[in-house]
Order: sequence, then structure tokens, then C-alpha cells
Amino acid sequence: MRKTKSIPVFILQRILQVIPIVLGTIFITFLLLELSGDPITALGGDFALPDETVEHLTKAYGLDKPVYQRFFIYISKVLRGDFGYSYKQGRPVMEIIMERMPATILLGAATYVISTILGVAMGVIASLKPRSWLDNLIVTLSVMGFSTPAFWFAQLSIFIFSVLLGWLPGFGMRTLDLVDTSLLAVIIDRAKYLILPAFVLSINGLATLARVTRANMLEVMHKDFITTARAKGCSEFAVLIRHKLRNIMLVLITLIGLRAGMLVSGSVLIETVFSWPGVGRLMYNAISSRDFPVVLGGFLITAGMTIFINLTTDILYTILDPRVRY
Amino acid sequence: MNDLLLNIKGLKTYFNLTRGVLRAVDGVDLKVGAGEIVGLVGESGCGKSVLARSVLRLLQHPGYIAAGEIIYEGTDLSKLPDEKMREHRGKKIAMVFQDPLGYLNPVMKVGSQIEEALRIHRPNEDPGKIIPLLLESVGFPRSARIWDRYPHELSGGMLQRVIIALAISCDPRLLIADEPTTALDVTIQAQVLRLLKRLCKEREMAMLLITHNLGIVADTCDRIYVMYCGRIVETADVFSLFEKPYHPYTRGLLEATLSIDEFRENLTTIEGTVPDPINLPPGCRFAPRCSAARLVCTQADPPCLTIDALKEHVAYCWIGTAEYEKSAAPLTTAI
Repeated sequence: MRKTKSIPVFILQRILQVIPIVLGTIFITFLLLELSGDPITALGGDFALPDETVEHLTKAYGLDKPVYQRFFIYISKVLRGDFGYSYKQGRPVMEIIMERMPATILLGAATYVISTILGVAMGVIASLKPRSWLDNLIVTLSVMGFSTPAFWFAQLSIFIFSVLLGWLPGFGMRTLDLVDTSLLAVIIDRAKYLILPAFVLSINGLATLARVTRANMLEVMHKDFITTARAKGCSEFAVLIRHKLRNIMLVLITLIGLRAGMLVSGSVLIETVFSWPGVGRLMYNAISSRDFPVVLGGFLITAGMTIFINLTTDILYTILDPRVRY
Repeated sequence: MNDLLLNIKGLKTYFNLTRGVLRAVDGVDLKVGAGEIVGLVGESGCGKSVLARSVLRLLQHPGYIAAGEIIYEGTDLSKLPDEKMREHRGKKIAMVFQDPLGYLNPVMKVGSQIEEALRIHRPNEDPGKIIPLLLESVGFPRSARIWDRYPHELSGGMLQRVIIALAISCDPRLLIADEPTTALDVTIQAQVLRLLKRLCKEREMAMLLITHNLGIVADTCDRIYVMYCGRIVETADVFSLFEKPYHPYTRGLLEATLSIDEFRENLTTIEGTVPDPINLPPGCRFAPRCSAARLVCTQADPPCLTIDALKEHVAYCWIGTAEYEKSAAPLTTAI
């Protein structure tokens, strides 16, 4: 008899493993930015800055020091919670990012909820009657869903739902001159702006999840323990929830966890197309103007979020599947 | 035989495959009396497990019951609506399966899996009190706290005992054990069989024991059915079957059984292979492999011969009939 490791020990081990991942992320981002070119030239835009200004700024931002020194300075500052100042806006990076964070979290959470619920539901429905017309429809739709680029869906949906039909706003996050400012009106207003970007951003995940759910459901329904469950008198609904879904949860959680990272990178594109005032669009602008501290800070925050979600996923595994605690 | 518990009449279970219709069970009559231990013996693929699953209607698509009756205490299970059928599963008829690890849900504690059955069929009782008792009755000391374990933490023999505890949890009157010992070590096999036998006695529970091992049957059962290619070929109480086997297939099986008392250079086998279940031979299905087969055997289904009415010894065979004697020409079927 093998006794399974307790959950707290497992979680602690997992958290310790996060440290090198974070350091590695900073290192790679720092190096890549270093290779992308000189931020001071970018500040000047189309006009060349006078030499003394360039020299002054280079010194002021500490860019005259060698790369490795700047790397360690940056790390030591980050450890003390100082992410530096934006080259372009002259404000603390943290402040700028935190301003944009709520919008990104709102969009990300909505996307997560839509893609998870709809994706799993569609996969389960498709698996109940394999090869039926409904199954074929869902499979076809999901192939279309994950093989079409999101920016194309974005433009198509803007064209159909806001230009042609005029049902939903095509860009932005809220009506600026909203007359009725009661809580309900504000929520409805936000929801209207949220629907298109959240739906477009969730299509890919939704389609993938539907496919994977369907395939795993079809596999698990031939497992012997499903027969045992029926043999003890379980209803088909109980078999579905407690035995089939419970057993494919591990695969689904893995997939949902992996999507966390893609969600952030995907939202850069979608936030730009929909003019959503989130971290994604901030990063897009920061990259094009070589605003290194903002890019670094943004990367760190999103990487941190991704790592956190992955950690949660790992911990969820151990609760869902006792065999994982090795 | 005392009160009849299960009476299967002319059961046909077919599978519609693209290649044709697979007649896994093709007209089987089988009876199990209350408290009786009945053995069902046959080679792999002869339809034993399909027969067992048909009783609880656990067949998976494309399998279906094509004809026949499965009468359990006066109710024909084959025509029961699904909702009513569920009330029988686990409560009146329970099942034990072959591969203990595969038949338990890997992500649920074994206690919860037993609890699930209790909540369905014994909703007014406290599972926390029943489960330790059940596990004790299959030989786990209370201190082992087996209910807190996951299936992968237990050995095959322990898992099989857990499955047996699950099966008896709602006091079924009939237990169908589908090769319960095949996946276990020989030493554990004997343990599990003794346990099953003891539980049947204690709980006045009947058992349909499905196996391909005649040794197990001899040890455990009161009566035996021998199955070949979806049909019963011979049935009798355990003593007369072992003493006076009538059907050539039964004799072949017995000869192939190893005994520790005699030394054999070569193992005895039944010549030939089981026919393709989709293209079954006409007449007696064993005829192509039977050394005593004659022309009549390949032409018409064998009659039901009563060998010993008192012991309910019946065989489905042409041997000994007038037609068999007349049909002198032995067949030259290539084996």
C-alpha cells in the first residue's frame, strides 16, 4: 500500500519551483528587449535628438552601464517592488499598469467563463450522440473556430454586429456620456461593450475545449468503471457528472490552465482591434515606442499571472486526481 | 432446487456490426434458485459475459436483447422501463467484475464509491456506519480505514474485495460474478472464492459465477451450465457433470483440466478453434471440432436430451439419438 503525499507538502514544493521560472522570465525578456534597439532614439520619434540630450537621457536612465549590471540593478529593484518609471510618460510603471489591469481582468475573466462553460457544454452534448447531426455540427463549428485567426473574427464581428446591425458598440469599454449612472445601467453598459471582444477572444479556446471534451468523453464512456456505476443503479445524469466528467476534469483543467498564457498574448491583439483600454494595448504601444520599463513590467505582471494560474491548475490536479501526487 | 430467483428463457443478445449480426447469446435458458450458486463455464468469447450483462441490461451499443425473457422474481427485466430497471441494479442484482482496478473509478475514494450505491438504494441509513461494517465483512480490519483509500493505493486482491463489498452493500439477492478471480494471483483466487461462498451462505444470496476455470466451479458451485458459441450445451448439478459429462465439449473441457495427481507430457487441448461468431456453422456449433460428429450434427440444431431427470442433467447433443445412429457417415471436416 502506497500512501499518497499530503496536499500542503505538494503545494509548498510547487511554490518553490516558481522562483527559477520567474527569474528566467525576467532574464529572457530583458535580453530580448536589449536586442530590440535603443530606446532613446525611439523617444525622439521621426526627429533626431541633439547629441547632448541623448547623452543626458542615457545617463539619466542608467543605460550607459553594461547590460549585466543593469540586469542585476533591475532585479534588485523589482524585489523591492520598484518597477521603474516609463520613459515616455515619466510615471511609475506600476501605476500605469494597475490603471489598465481592471479592464484586462474583466475581459480575461469573461473570456474564461464563456470559453469554459460553452466549450465543455458543447463537447459533452456532442459526445452524447456521436455521429448525429448535432455532433457533426459542433465538430464542424469547432474546426472553423480554432482554425480561423481571432483578428479576422474580430473585424467580422465588428462589421456585422456594430456596423451592419448596430446592436453592439464596436470599440471602447464604456459610454463616456452615460446619462443614467445607476449601478444597473453601468453594468448593462459595460456588458454591451464586453460581449464582442470577450466572445471573439473566447472562440479559439471554446473550440479547442469542445473538441478535447468530446474526444475524452467518448473515450471515458467505454471505461469499465462506467459499467460499475450503472450496475450499482446510478442514473445516467449521475454517471455523466460524477464518473465521466469527473474523470476527464484533469485533461480539461490542463487545457484551461495552459490557455491562461495564450489569453494574455491573445488579448494584445483583441484589445488593439477593439480599442479595449487594457494591459494588452498598453504593451502594444509600449513595444512600438521602446518604452522598456513598461514592457518589462507588463511582461512580469502577465507572466506572474500565468504562473499563478498554472500553479492553481497544478494544485487543482491533486485535488481532482489523487494519482498525481507523486 | 428451491424457489426460482432468476429464470432466463430463450435469451438472444445480438450485436449489429457492419460485418453482420453477431449472435453473442443465441437462445439461452438458465435458472438460478434462491441461495443457489450456479456456475457458467465456457471459453473466452462464448458469450458468458454478454449473458451476464444482459441480465442487468448493461449492454453497450450496438448490443441489444433481440428476444427472450429474463424473469427475476416474476418480473421480466428485459421489458422493464429504464427507470424501473435502475431500481434492480445494485439492490436486487449486483455484479462483480473481472479486472478490479479498471472497474473502480480512479478519482474517487473507495468509501465514496460504496456510499454512492448506499445513497441510491438505502437513503435513510447512515453510510458512515454501514461502510466500515461492509468492509469488515469482506475481511478488512476497521483500523485499516480502507474507505479513505483511492483504488490505485490498493492491491488487486484488496480491490476485488472492495468491489465485493460494493456489490453486497445493498443486500442483493443475486450476485453475478463475472470471472471474479481471473485477474488475481492464484493464492488470492482461493481467498476471494472462499469469501464469495461465505457471503452467499451468510446472506442467503444466490450467485451466478462465470468462469472459464472448471476447478473453480467444482469447488464452489451447486449447478453448472456449460456454454459454447452463445448456446448452453450441457447443464447438470456439479457432481453428475464431473462424473458423467455427456456432451463432447464438456468432456473435452474436463480432459483439458490439469490435475496435480497425474503427470502429463503434453497438455490436452480441444482441437480446432472457436468459429467466427458472425458466420456460425449450421446445426451443432461444436460439430466442426467434435471428433464424434456425424452428418446430422451439421444439418440441424441438436435436440435437448435429458440425461438424468432427477439431477436436472440435460445436454444438447445428437449423440445417442436414432438420427445420429442412422447418419452413419462421419464427417470429413478439416479441422
